[in-house]
Parts: sequence; C-alpha cells; structure tokens
Amino acid sequence: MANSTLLASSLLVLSTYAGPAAAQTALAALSPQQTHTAAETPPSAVAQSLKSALEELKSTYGVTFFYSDQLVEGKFLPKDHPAFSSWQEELRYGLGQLRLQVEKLEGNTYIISPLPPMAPAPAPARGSTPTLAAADVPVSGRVVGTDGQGLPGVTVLVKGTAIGSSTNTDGSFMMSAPEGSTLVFSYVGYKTQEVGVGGGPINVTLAVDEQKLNEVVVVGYGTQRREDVTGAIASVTEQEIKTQPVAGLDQALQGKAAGVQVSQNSGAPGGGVSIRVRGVGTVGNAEPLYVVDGVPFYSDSDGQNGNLLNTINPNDIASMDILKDASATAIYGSRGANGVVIITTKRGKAGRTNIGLDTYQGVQQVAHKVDLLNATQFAELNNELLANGGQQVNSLASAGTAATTPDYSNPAALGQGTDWQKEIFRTARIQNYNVNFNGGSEKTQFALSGGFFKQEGTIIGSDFKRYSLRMNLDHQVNSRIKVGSSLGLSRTEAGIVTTDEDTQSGLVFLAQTQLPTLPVYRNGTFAGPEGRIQFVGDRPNPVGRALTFDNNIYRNRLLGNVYAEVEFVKGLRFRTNLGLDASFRENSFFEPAYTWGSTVHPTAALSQGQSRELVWLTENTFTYTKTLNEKHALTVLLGQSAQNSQSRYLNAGDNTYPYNTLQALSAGSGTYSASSGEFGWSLLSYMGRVNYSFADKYLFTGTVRVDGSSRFGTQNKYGVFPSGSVAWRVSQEPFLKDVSRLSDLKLRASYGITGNQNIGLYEYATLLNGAQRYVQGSSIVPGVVPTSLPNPAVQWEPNKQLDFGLDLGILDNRVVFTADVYNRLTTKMLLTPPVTPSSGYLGAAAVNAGQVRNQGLELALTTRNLVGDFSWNTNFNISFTRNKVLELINDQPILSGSILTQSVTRTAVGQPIGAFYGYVTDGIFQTADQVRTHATQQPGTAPGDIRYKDLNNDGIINDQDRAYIGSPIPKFTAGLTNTFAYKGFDLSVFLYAVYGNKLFNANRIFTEAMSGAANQTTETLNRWKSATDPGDGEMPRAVYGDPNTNARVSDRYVEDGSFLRIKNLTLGYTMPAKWLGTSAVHAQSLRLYATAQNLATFTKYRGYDPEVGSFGQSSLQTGVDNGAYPVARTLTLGLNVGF
Amino acid sequence: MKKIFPLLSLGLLLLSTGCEKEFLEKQPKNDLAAENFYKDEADAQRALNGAYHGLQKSGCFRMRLWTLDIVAGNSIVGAGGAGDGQETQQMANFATTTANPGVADIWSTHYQTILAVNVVLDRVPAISMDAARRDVILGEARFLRALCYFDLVRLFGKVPLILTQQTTRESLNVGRASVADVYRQIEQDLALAEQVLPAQAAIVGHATKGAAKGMLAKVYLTQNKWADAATKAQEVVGSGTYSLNSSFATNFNPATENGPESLFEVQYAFDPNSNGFSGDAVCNSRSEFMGPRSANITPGGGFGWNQPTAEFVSQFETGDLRKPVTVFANGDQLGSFTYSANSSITGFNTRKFVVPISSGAQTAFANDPLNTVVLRYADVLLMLAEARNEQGQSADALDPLNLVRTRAGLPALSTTNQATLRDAIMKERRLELAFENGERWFDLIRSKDNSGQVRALSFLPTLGTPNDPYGVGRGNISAKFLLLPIPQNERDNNSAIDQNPGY
Repeated sequence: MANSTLLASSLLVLSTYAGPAAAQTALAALSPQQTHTAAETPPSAVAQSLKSALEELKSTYGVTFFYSDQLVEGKFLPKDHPAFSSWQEELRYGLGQLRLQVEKLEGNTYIISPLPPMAPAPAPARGSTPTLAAADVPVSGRVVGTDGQGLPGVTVLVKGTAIGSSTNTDGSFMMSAPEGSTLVFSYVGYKTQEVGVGGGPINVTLAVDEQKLNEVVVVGYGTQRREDVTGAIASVTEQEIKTQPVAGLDQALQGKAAGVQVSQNSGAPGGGVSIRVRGVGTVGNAEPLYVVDGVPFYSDSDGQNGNLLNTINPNDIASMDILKDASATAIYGSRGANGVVIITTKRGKAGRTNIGLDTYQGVQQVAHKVDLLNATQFAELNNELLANGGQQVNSLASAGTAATTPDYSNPAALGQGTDWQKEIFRTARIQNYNVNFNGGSEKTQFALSGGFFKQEGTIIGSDFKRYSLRMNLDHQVNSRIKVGSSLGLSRTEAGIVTTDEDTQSGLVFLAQTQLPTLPVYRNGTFAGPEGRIQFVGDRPNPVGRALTFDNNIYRNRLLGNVYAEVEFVKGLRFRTNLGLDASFRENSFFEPAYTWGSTVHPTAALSQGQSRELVWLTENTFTYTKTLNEKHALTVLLGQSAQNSQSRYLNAGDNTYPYNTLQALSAGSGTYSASSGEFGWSLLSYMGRVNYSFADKYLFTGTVRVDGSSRFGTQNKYGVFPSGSVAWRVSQEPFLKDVSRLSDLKLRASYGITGNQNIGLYEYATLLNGAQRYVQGSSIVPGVVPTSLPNPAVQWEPNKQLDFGLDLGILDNRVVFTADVYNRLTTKMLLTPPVTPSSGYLGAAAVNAGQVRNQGLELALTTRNLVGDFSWNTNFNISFTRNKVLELINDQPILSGSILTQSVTRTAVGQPIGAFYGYVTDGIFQTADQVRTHATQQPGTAPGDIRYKDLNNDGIINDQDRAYIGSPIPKFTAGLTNTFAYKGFDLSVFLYAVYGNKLFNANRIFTEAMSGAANQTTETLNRWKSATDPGDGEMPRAVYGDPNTNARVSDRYVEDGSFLRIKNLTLGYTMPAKWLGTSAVHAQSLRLYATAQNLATFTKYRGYDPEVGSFGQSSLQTGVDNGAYPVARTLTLGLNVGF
Repeated sequence: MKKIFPLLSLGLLLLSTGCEKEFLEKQPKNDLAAENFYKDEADAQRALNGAYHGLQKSGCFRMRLWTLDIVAGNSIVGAGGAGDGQETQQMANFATTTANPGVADIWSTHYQTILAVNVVLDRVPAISMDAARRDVILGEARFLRALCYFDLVRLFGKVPLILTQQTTRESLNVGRASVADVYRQIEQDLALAEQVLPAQAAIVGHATKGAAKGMLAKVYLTQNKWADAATKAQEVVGSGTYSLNSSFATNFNPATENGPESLFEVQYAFDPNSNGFSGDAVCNSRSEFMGPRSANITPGGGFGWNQPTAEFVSQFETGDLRKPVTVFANGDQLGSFTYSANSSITGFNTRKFVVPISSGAQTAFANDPLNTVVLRYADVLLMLAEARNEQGQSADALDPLNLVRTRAGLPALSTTNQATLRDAIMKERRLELAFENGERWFDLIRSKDNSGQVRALSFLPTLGTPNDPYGVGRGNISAKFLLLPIPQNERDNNSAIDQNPGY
C-alpha cells in the first residue's frame, strides 16, 4: 500500500486528472496502436516525462536503471492508469504502453529495452517491418486474475519470438500472431501461462504466483521486501486461510507457519484458541499481540465462551504476518515478547468494480465418540461395585418405586438404554456468505464487504453467528497527500452450553456419566434420577440443561482507523493514524425452575451483564528513505504512539423468578445482586528503526522502542526495548552470482529484548479493601485496610531472544527454504508469591522473579515441484520446541489445574511449564499378601486396587510420592500442504501433526472410576474381578466409594497426545472464462469447491479429540482434557463468483 | 503546504507528549488507592474502623480465642465428634504441629490487625484534622496494637515486633523480638493510650482510658509486676466509672451490651450481607457454634462446640448463680426448650453466649449480634485481689474478691492465708470468666501454683480419667506446649524467623 501510494505521486503525476467513466471506457476500447500514439503526443500540463520518473524511482527506492537515452527521450508516461500494488508493476505497465520493457538484472538493477516489434495487424508498428509470414491472424482477448478482474500490463508474446503486446487497463489485448502459434502470457507476481492460437478470442486466467506474492512483508509500521528482511517473520496468505471453514482467523493459522502453535481450547462454535509463538514464554499470559490494520489488541479469549478474534471475518483478510524474533517484535516493545500477529485486511484497487460472492455450506460432526457402557453393562457394573463396597445392591425390592427407578436385578432386560452422546451431539450446519465490492478510480479506491457466518454447535443448544461489514478506503488528495480508512463492524452472537468450565455439570461430562438406564423424557418433561442415589446417581439431565438453559454472549465491535500520509520531500513521508477499537459485550444467563426427578431447581434465576471497552490509538511516524552512491540504502523510521483503554461493566442478577418465560431483571423477587466497575490502561511509546543495506548484500536493522505504561509505577514507568539484526545475502556476492540455480541465499542473525506487560492494571499501587466494616452503635460503618503488599517496582517481563536464520532460494525460487534456530529467555518473569503472614497482608502484587527458556528450531520449505498445465506445489513447516523453567521464587513450584481438589500440573524448576504431576501406578494388587507387603496406601485397599509406587521409600503412599508424569508441550508440530492444479481443477491437501506431547485425560477420572452411579467407558469391561479373572492388568476393581482412591491424579490418565490429522482437503474447479462469457449470469469467474476440515485423525488418544488447548488460555493448564467440547469434522461445499 | 505539515506533525508529537505524565496515570475506580486515601478525618476514622474490624475475625475474638478454653481443659470440642474441629482437638491434646491451621489463623489475623493499626499510626498524623480527635484515634490504634501483641506474646512468646507498615518485600523478613521488648512496647502503647483516651468514648464500644488502664493491669499482672498491676486496677476501681451488673447474666445479653461493668467489648451486630463464616462479617457466631447440637434453639440448629467437662461443672459451689448462666445441664429450661444431656458428649453445653431464636434478637445462621466482652469490671476486681495477695496484702485482697462472690450469690471468703487465697482467686477467675476468650488458658500459663509449678503443667495432667473421661490428651502437656509453634507458612516465607523450642 505504501509503495503504491508513493508511486502514484512520483511516477505518474496525474493526480489532478480524473476522467469520467465514459472516457476510460473509450480509452479501453482503443487499439494498442492508438494508445501508443496518444502516449507519445507532446506532454500535457500534467504528464510526467519517463526520464524524470525513472530518476525519481532511483532516488526513492535506491534502484538503478540501464537504458539508452534515445529509448527514453521525449517519452511521456500515460496519464490514465490503474493502481498497482508495487512500483515494478506500475512501471511495467507504463513502459508497456510506450512499447518498452523492463527486466531485472540483479538486486536493484534493472534494464530498460524496447519491446519486440508488434505484429503488423491491424496497423504496422512505428517504423518497423513485419517479419512474419502472411499466415498471421488477428488475435484478441482478455487476461484476468483468479478473481475475474482484468489484469492490465500483462506481457503477451508469441512463443519463441520477440513478437508481442501487452494488455490495456481492463486486461484486453489485441495483436497479430501466426496461426497455430502459442502465446505466452507473463505478469509480475503471476504464474506464466501458455495458450495456443486458435479461432476466436483468447481469454486467459492467470493464477497468482504464491512465492512472488510473498515478496512484500508487513513488519510493523511499514512493509519490507522479503529479501530485505533481517528478522524472522512467517507469512500466511489469503489463499492459505480462505478455504478453511472456521469461525476465526486464529484457527486458520494452525499448521501454516513454522514456530506458531495453534490449539483449539474448545470445539464450541466460536470457541477459544491458544496461540503460542515459539514456545510458552511465561507462566502468565502467553498469547501473542494482534495488530489489525495497525490497531493492537490481545485476544483475551473468554475460554469456550467466545473469542475476540472471531469478531474479524477471515474473508476480509489479505495477509497475516507473524513476527517471531526479537528483531521483528521489538518495534512492539513491551508487548512483543509473545510474538506479534499482524493482520492486514483487503484494500481496493483502481479499475473496474469487481463484485465477489462467496459462500459455503456444510455440516459438522464429532468425528469420534467415546465407547460407553449400555444399560445392561452399567447395571452389571453397579451391582458389582455396590457388592464390593458392602452396600445394598439394586433389586426389585430395593429399587422402590419401580415405575421410575430401574431394576438392576436382571441387567439383560435393560437392553441398550439411552445413548446420551447420541442425544446431545448432532450433525450441525455451518454456513458462510460474503459479498464484496472492490474497485475505484486512480484517486479513490475502495473495498467493501459484508459477511454472515452461522455455525451450529455439534452439541445441541450451542451456536455462533457473526454479522460483519467492512469498508476500506484510500484517497489520493494530491501528489503528496493520501488519506484513507479501514473500518470493520461486527456483531457476534454465541449460544453457550457449559462444557469444560464446570466438571460437575458440563455437558460433555454429563453425556458420558449420565446413566443409560435413565430415559431422556418422562411425564412430559426431562427425566431425572429417582431412587437411591447409589443406584441412580444425582446427575442432571444433559439434554434438559442444553435445551432449557439460556446462556448467550453478544459482542458488537468497531475496529478501524483513519490515516493520512504526506510526502514532504522525496523520500520523507509522514503518516498519522487514528485508531479505534470499541467492544460492547452483553451476556445473559437464565436457568429456569425445574423438577427433573431428584434434580430440582426451585426458582428460576437470571444474571445479566454488560461491559464495554473503548480503546483509541494515535500514531505518528516519519519514514525517510535514501540511497547514497547507489550502494548505501537507508530507511529510517521514527514514530510515536499513544493508546488508551477504558472499560466499564455492569452486572446484575436475581435468583428468584416466578416465571420460566420471563427474562427481565425487574421480574425477580429474591436476593438481588448488582455490581459495576471501571478500569483502564494507557501506553505511550516512541519507536525508531533503521534499515541499512550496503550494495544489497549486507543488511542491518536496528530497532528501539520506548514504552511508558500505566500498569507500572513511577520507578518503572518506562521500558526500553532494543534489538539489532544483520543479514548477509551471500547470493549477491560475486562468487555466487553466476550460480544461476541459486536465486537467493541469505544468512540472518538477530538479538533483542522485548517485553510482556500483560499483568493486572494496578499491581504497583497500594490498594485498600474498603469492606472491612465495623459496628458503631446501631449502624455498620465502613472500614479500610490494605490487603496486598504492593510492588511499586513491578515491571514487564524482559524476553531476550537470539535467532539465527537462513533463507535459501534455488532454481528461480522454485525451491525456497527457511531455517531458524532461536534461544528465547524470559527473565524477571512475573509471579505472584505468597507473603509472610506476619506482614498482615493477605496477598502480594506480582513480582519479577523466575526464568523460562524456550529453544527451538523452525524449518519451512516451499517447492514448486511441477509447473505448467499440471502444477504441484508443496508447503512444509516443522517446529521443534524445548521449554524449561530455570528459576522460580525460592524454587517454589506452582500448582494448577484442580480436579477433585487435586492439582494436575506443577510448574517447577527444571521442568517444562505446566508439567503433569501425580502418583505413579505400578499395576494392580492381585492378592491380599501383595497389599500387606507393599507400602501402606489406604485403610480400605484390597486386591484389585491400583498399586502406587513408593517413590521416597518411606513405607507409606502419600502426597510425597508424586512425580512429574508428562509434559503437555509437543516435541514438534508440523504442517504439510500439497496443492495440485490441472486445467481448472485444484486440489489441496493439508496435513497437520503434533508429536511428543502428553495429554491428561481428566474425563477418565470420572468415566473409569467405577465407584458410584455414573456411566463408564467400555474399557471398564476389562476390570479386575478376581485373581483368576484379573482383566487387562490395568483396570482396577469396581468398588463403591473407591476406598483406595484409584481415581487419584496419576499416570493412569496420562496419554500420548501425538496425532496426525488431515486438517484440510479441498477440491476445486474454476470454470473456463469462455464458458462464463456465454452463460446467463455474465460472471467473470466462477469456482466451485468442496472442503473437508479435520477429515481424519490418526492418534492413540482415547478421548474425543487429541487437540486439547489450554484451559482459559492458561499456560499452566495446557493439555488437560476436562470434558472439553470436541473439535468437529466439517464438510463443506463452496462457491466463489466474480462479476 | 510543505512547511505547514512538518510543523503540524511536530506539534502533534509535542502535544501528545506534553501531558504524558497525566496520560500514564490510571487510578483504579473499583478499589481505593492508598495514594488517594488518608486525606481527612473521615478517612482516618475508616482506617481505624478497619483495625477494629480485625478483632471481629475468626482468628481473633469470633472463634480462636474462645477455643483456648478447650485447650485449658474447661471443655472439649464436642460438636460432631472425632472429625470436627480437628485443629482445636490437636491443640487440646497437646499434639500441635507447626502446620496447625488454627494456630496459623490466630497468628495471621492478629498481624492483619497490627497492619491496620500501623497504617493508622503511619498515616493519620499527616492528616489535617482536629488535633484532639486525631490524638484519640492514635491512642485507640495503640490500644488495639497492644491488645494484639499481648495475645501474641502470651501465645507465641518471642514474636516479630512490627510497628510500621511494611511496604517492600525485603522488609518482610523480620526476626523475633525478645519477650521483654514486646512487653515494653505493649506497656508503652497502653500508657500512651491511657493518657489520650477519654473516660467515655465518643463512639460506643471504642477504647477508653479505663480500658487502657484495665489492660495495662492485666499486662503487669501477667509479668508478675504486682505493684504496678495493683495500681492500675485500683485506678480503674477508684475512677468510679465502672460497677458490677447486679445480675451476672446481664453481661451476655445483646440488650444490655456496653453496660457499666464493661471496660471493652468487640462490637458485633446482625450482618445482613454475610455470616460468621465470612472473613468480612460484622456478626458473631458463638451462639451457633455453642448452641446444643441440633437442638434448633439457634437458627442453624446448633453445632454443639465447647462442651464443658464434668470436672469443670463440678467446680461450681452450690448456689452459684453463675452456673445456670454458664452451662446447660440436663433438665435446664430455656423458654419452652428443655436441655437434655444427650445433646452433648460430656452431658453439658456452654450457655453463656447462646442467643436463642426465642429471645427475639435478630439472628440468622451463624449470625448473632452479641458482643464479645474483652475486659469487664469483675476481671479487674479479681486482678486487684490477686495483685494485692501476691504482694502479701491478703486481707486487702478479700474486698474485691468478695464483691465478685457476692454477686454470684456466694458467701464471702475471709481467709488471709496467701496460698489458700491464691487458689481461691484462681478458681474464682476460672468460674467467673469461663469460656471468655481463653482467660483460663492465659491464667494457667502465667501463674504458678503454691508449689511453684506453672499451673498448666500441674493442673492439666490431673484431668482425664476418672475426672474427665474425655481429657485423653491432657497428660501430653509439657513445657513446650506452653507456647504455640510459629506457623509453618510464616517459617516458609520469613527467612529471619526461628521456631519455638521443641517444635
């Protein structure tokens, strides 16, 4: 964008002229001959000479042109031109109109030469004589991109000759060519295509050359050519994300970029995602910073309850660039430590207005269900566990009211019973509609879009909807000033069902543990357990909860900016940016009154809340670009930024409502509660960056940002975040320059310090508790005490990162390889330590203590294996990470993840963050003798119970016998995408793999406990029954009350989390343009495709799905499957139409 | 144009940095920030209220201090049996470990109050307000601090003596001051409080001159400073401000709180927002805790804690009017309720603090309004008697002692034998102050019997079978248990603190 802005003013000084639409149409109809003539007429008052334009380019971009003066003298650039995304394209177009061409020799050096003579028809080219045989025929046609938009300036050559032409503003061309010859269509950034000359018009669709599209990288407050980048930046293009049927862009990132691990915390529609860039950098918030069109924010996922990133329509995204190393992220200073994801939305292009319609329709299903006992099997188990526990066993007599309490005395008579998974899971629809308008004049470009996305959850009662609008505008005021805006409006509506947030009432848990002997409905309402709790349990009906609880979250968000850009003098640009991010969130939770057997909710309850956050941002940057002596290229950025956030919330509720149909706070008659609050933060920053390159071989980048943050006290209000990086383009050295197969070889090194400031807002301040009341006569008066030890010296977590990288391109960049190794050290990690009780404080503010190290290797390989009619491209990336805690306060471990009051994870020095911690099993006791001779476990331990290892050999099994039993952090994650294209067909297969991590399957604590009336997995059929019927040797006995605590947190529940998944398979067909031209719809382009997301998963994991993220994005509680909403398999059919 | 833009943008830069200091200051709106507080008299009063609130907590007067009578052998936990009140049972069986949560509760709660006091003492002097009012607030704060350190030094011995708010993590590692230094500070705080506090508190329930004198008497008495103790007790008596209620029961009735016998009471009230299980509550919960278990004369049915032993009940002389006020015995009536010995493991329940539903005092589950009397005139009279007797003025000791006995409906004593009188005064204290804030435990560990042995060590082993079939652990008492252990969580986090011997 920045490039085209500059070009508009420097290359083609035409900005005061904007012809009416009719004039442009007329111009487009002119033959090339006439166009040339027009361009060579003496200059009008506003046209620019070619020579001066080239001089400008030289000084602006530091490029060098070779040409003979006579080629350039007296030529003027055309005044009508479309907008281009790079100066090269624009130059190529302009020269094409003058029958000149430009070729890149090396680095920044270009040669300008005449285009080969035109074919004679319809009129001979100036001063040239046709050399072709009389068999020449007139050929005309149009060249469009995959979006159906005409491509101007495409070079059209007769294969094997120098004869050719180029397309005009709407992509049309006209020339003469020998009959039966082949035309070669080539265009910067697009794949070259060959078409045979036959009868009739030749319509060609050029596909984007993905490798070349990547050449511009968004680096934060600017863009850079890929070959000039000295830091570690991974880029994901529109093409890579657009076929994935997902609610949010974060999900689409999975497996696409080396060093970026994406895992879905919940499969709920619109559910949350955890993103870790280069490992887990902190025990605190480890999520990256997102920057959408220049406005930074954190994703702050509400766990399963929706994700702020879902407010952005993935269809609006043009590119995502992930800044990984310190060199790249330091420009974001105190927020850069966990990586930065820069998202750029689509912008308008000059030319005809293109209309795009995109839609897909699909279905989702839970791919894998857990095998559970049927009613017969459950009854047998219940009888056995009660007998083993010395309890009364269910029989017709003991069951009491036989009508509602099942009789387990004849299990076989109970049959299959209710399949609760079948009852709560469903085949769910997913639909997406987008319409976009894109176009504009040379002065004003626009991109408008509207989208509607609707996803039903695979669990009944859950759904997600998004309505989105986007309007991006760019306007060239005059040759020096450009203004524009990006504006996104969205509303999301999420219908929530409780899953992993509450282990006792989460629907996934309930579906697994509710008894198959309970029907779904009884007496016109939902059935509930009735009878002795030992027989029927006390769990509520999951279908009833899903269908009658009303839990919704609504978000309205406005995210956008307005900018102005001024070029004072050549090379010096000023840009000011005003951004706004306004979020409005509403939630409502209504639980009706009901009586479902013994599960009773006597009165309806309602709670409602509203919150809003307003963030504004102002940024001012100066960029100066200068090339000295054609060797020293310098770009300097200086800028300032201020960001301010203010939030307010209001919550209220009442627990007594007379009606199940009335959801208004005022209708309540019980204990009423209300709360409200307000808080805010601000950030004031100054940043600078210097890019220097010498002879295009030696590159240097130095960045510094100074952040002042309201989160810190006066002692540490400001932080300085410097970084530096160097790169050596070895391929530019004389000794390699002649190696034609080597397109690029660059070595990179960077080091820098970034920060993580994501802590509470007022940690530095001494806060007082005003609720310490006292009695004064007959009244109660307020009292105030300090409750928390302040830490005025609290500061960001500094993150020191060293990175070495290599970029390699061979065979004309048909093979591109990138490798990075890094060492990332988080120091002064923010921890909340206990205080001495004698201080009188109840707690303490965070302190900077502790260290975490992440080391990793990232490899990315892109190859164009086959080009031509049949093309085959491969994208592969793999990331290896090692995470280790080096230091904590007093080396005191941090426990997290409580299940049945037991901690599941323990973060300790020498271990990875969030390592699983528990007892170590040692088989099953077979005899009473074995129980007696083993270390003492529990008073009721008996044969059939699990034997735990006495790790400290003190003869007693207690909490001192726990050990680290697995790491949730994968050894590597990898993504592999193969794309094939033949004629109009395209096929893409995306594989995603995670290897070497463990998962804690907490579901099984409940579903394999065999201690009470809860349904269990069929694994429990292999349980120990006696020494002669010992089962599979792993599953203990069934016994009421579990006296040995076989269900304690142990390695019994730790499973291999590795998996390989066919993440996405897409088969598409693009209609040939010639068919469309004759169709009734008059479409420019049409593509049909079918996609399968999460088609197949290969894993040993026994739960629903091995993709288990972090509970509420907590880095301390990752990989704990706590009744999580399973990730769905999605099949869609889609259609893209361009008009 | 060319010149305007650089100027404009430069101006923008300057503009945005000119007010940066303000821009980067964000004041919390939901919490009070210390920076904005402590500005006026109302703030000073609220800070002081916060300190008073500390006395209400479970780690102080709402629960832990009265459970010391269980440790002293007057009663057992009773309640729900073996599983109930395990931390108190551990203490009463003299098996206390450093991890005992009850011990940790006492420790941290007292220091929370000390922090609140220290904040008052640090901040209020700088507040611009009426000087006399300020002096009273500071005096009250010192009184509260003395109260807390007096509990701590008696229970734990050497303790960290923290006299200003600690604001840095480094400052938290504080070693233990000598017992003498702690007492010196307590005396100093009380002496200053005595000077500035008024005879009658402007706010009912706040510390007074008499309260400071009375506490000082007890502090001297605990240190065997008999003459000083006698002087201070005599000053209270001589002030004419206080007198015994004609009825003993008047001291434990919500309707007659803060009466003429009361020197200092922790003020409790029915709390509409929470109950006694909440740390922030302003209500008491003794009534629910001590109400006979499941007798339903209290709103939650009654937990049956603090069941008096037969040995204790047998100490009452025939005709002692205090007995039916202090304990429930089989057949006792409370309105239409008839107490059954089956309600209790020992056959008795504590009655002194029960506020029955039938009384009409507004109560809810674990939410009773009855104040806890910290110091009352009867105690001062008994202290005066003891201080005189220990100084050999046994005849003079009889007057104050007999005032208390007479009110209890008992005949006056006339012995002037110092040793006999010593035991008599101690027994009178045991019955008069039974179940009140661990007075019995403090008496047992501060005083010596006539053979020179600390009473706790000679008395407690005499309990147990056959005198007290429930006093199984009483014989475990040894010198180490005269002090509680420094809690483990303090030891884990405070590198400068050491442990009491034997733990």
